[in-house]
Amino acid sequence: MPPRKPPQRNLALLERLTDAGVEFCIIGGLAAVLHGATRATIDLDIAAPFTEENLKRLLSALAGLDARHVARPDLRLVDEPLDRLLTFRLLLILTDIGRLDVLREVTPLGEYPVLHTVEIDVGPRPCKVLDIDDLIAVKRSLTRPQDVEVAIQLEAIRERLRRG
Amino acid sequence: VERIDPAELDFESFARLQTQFREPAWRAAAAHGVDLFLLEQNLELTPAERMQQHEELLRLMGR
Repeated sequence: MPPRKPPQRNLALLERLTDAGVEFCIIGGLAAVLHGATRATIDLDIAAPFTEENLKRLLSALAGLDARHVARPDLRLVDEPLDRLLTFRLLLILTDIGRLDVLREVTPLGEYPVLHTVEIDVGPRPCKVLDIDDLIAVKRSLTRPQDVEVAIQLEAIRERLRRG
Repeated sequence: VERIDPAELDFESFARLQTQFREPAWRAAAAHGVDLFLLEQNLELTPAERMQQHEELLRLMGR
């Protein structure tokens, strides 16, 4: 039986990413939680530019965390040549402090530069988070019941925010 | 706003209570089964407090 993984520590992952200077924004369920949605999520999803410099920073952020590919836990991230990582569409990473999904592109919006973000103080560090309009567009493009519910919650939150 | 005796509360009366939220998107959320009282309570938190709440939830779940 594989060793039991410790609890997901999203704050610690975010601290490592920001301290290493990784360019990224929080997307997915945690972004929805930060905007006020009540549906819990577990893993940390981020969008990031897949540039050589940024991937180097990402590897540095995950140093010492035994980062491995979720789909191939026998392969360690640090053993991957950078040239190969540059070709990935997404990185699903298992670490000693939780799961981190890094997306090059966010459907249906596009790659990192076109995303609209807001800076939010999530605790020890401010982080960029996908803004509520973009997040609703993402959740509305998905068909899983949990995504539809989050979209509905976010639409209610946006309505309240607009009303002031 | 309907005032209800908590001893009389059931899921039907709870759903009826949620109709006090008048904005269209809130009504749509209620129709979808979202607990609007919980959502409203969550909106009173700062993002940092939501993050902390989420971390504690993950710890409780052992995930």
